Amino acid sequence: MHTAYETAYEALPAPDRPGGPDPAAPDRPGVRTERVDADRAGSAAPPGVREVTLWTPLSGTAVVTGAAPGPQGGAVRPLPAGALVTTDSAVPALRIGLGPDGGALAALRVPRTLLPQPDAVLSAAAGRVRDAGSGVGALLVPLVLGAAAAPPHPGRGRNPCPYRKDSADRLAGQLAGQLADLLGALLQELAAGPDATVADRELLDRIRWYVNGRLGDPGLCPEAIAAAHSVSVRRLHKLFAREGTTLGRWIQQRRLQECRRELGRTDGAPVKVAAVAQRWGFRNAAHFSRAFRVAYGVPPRDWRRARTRYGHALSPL
Amino acid sequence: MKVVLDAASLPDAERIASWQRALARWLAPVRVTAPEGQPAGGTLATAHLGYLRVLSVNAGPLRISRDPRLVAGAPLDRLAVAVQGGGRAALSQNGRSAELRPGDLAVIDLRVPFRLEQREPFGLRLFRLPSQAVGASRARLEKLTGRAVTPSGGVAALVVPYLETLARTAGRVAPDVGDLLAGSTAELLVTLAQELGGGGPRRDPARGHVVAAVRAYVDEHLGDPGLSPRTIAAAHRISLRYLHRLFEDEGVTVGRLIRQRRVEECARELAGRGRTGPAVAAVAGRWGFVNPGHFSRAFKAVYGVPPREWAASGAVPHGGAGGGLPAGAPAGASGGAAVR
Repeated sequence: MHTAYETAYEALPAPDRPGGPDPAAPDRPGVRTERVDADRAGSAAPPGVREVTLWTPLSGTAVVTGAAPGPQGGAVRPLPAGALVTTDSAVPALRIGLGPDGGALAALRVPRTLLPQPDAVLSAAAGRVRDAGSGVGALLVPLVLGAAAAPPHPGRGRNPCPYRKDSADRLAGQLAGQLADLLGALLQELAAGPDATVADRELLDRIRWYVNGRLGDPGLCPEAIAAAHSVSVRRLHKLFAREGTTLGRWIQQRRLQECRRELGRTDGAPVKVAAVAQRWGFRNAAHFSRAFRVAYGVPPRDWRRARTRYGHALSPL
Repeated sequence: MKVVLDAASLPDAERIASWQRALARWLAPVRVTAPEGQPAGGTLATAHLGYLRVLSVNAGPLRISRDPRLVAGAPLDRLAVAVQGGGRAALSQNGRSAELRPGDLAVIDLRVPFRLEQREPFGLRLFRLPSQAVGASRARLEKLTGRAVTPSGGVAALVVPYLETLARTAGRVAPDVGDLLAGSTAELLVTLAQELGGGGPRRDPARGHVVAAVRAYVDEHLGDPGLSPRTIAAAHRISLRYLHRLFEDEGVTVGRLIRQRRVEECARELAGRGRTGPAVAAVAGRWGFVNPGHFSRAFKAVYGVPPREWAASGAVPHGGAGGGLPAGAPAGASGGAAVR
């Protein structure tokens, strides 16, 4: 399932290898923001790097061409102001163009390596035109535009803050990583079909809240969860089966998501892989590393390095 | 979001208790008081995304506080981020205090006492996270407690609108997306704290323990008029210089911390008693103030009113009250976020 993912990862030059990417090079892989005008084409993904791009018009109306999965699949569809779409460099047939009247687009380009979603999610999301004013889009688009317009720059303006400042680069890198994470959430939202109506939505919601608040407890088990909600273990398992997963798998996935997030943090606070795994309820470090690799295609330490290297390069739109 | 409390629909006598019950359930056990003659009407709505609890409060003037007794009764390893919608409020925690103006963001640590005085009819969004979600970066966020972050630039200018949108979005996204959004929100808050420079990595982990021990020691010895940086340093076998340096990083001086904590305890005692309460001077004396004039000045500096007036009003001072909404968002359209 993650073959393509791993391929993309392997293709990235090692940071400390001579001849690795020059951090200042414009085609250095990383999270990038870009403005695409009528008279200026967008840049291509750096060679060997698979990228997912979020597009939203800044002015005028753009068009999406090429096949897309699902009911929106077809030839040419408009991408009006206030809408968004994602493309995947692995699907070159899917293209974004500007309408005859010109205009401009904002793009957020994220290396596939920084997205934890499986390929199935990426391809299901690609090419779907959505309203940027609802759901994750409403959160992400203003952040992209805001971060690009004024990258974090501590020490500017009136600031009676008595504390010392981190370097602006590190902040921009941290923020870029968060844009990538939010793009992942957006892809997940786009990929999901219409919300399946589940009779036990409310119970499931309560169980999710309960589990989410106890992910760090290694003793979290179906018996305890069932008892806390006065349902049988059997009923509990059936609830998750209807969601297309199992309780155990979901808990593990949530723990891995949290570990991945914390390991990707670059704010300078000390982070140890084993300690992070333990704090999120993994008893066994080797088991954690294996599970992480299976889920994300790379070992935890490599993910941490990839994040530090590629969360970068926000440029004005 | 789901409305879980509509206080205006309740008899006046039940409102305060209902606020306390609802906030205890959705935020943390707190004491709620309303200024005399104010009906404590308003609504509380809530939703969640993953482990992130979102609260939306719109109400008349209220004072929300968590004192040492409530903290001891229900220690909650959680953080809350507040975004002030309308009205002005006074927030104090960890010896620091700040005025919250519309649009301001503040971090509240639910593990330690705090006080949030909404002096006017207000709107407030609260985002509560388990401390685990910010992991080792918790120390950074703790440094922002008792401060107002003005979204005039930088990451703060991105985070505040993000949180406002998140409050509207909560409850409308699929649960698996909500799980991811909760994590992303925690990360953005860490980045905000990073921008504001709230404490880098601790070079010396023992420092955190010493600071905590000193804070606990101060709380235990507030009534002792002899409590001073010198006696604290001696009790912890550290030099006076080192003590001052430790608290430099905390954004507060030791002397100010002692004064602030004393004033807080006096305010709590005076507010609880109304007109029949004990003499102001007696309360001040019990909490280690030797000089009544000094006490009055220190009190006024924190609460904006003299202690006698505070005691007589029963609770909340009426700084700019009268129902009028305060002026719009704070000025300063460019530049970095400001922390007051």
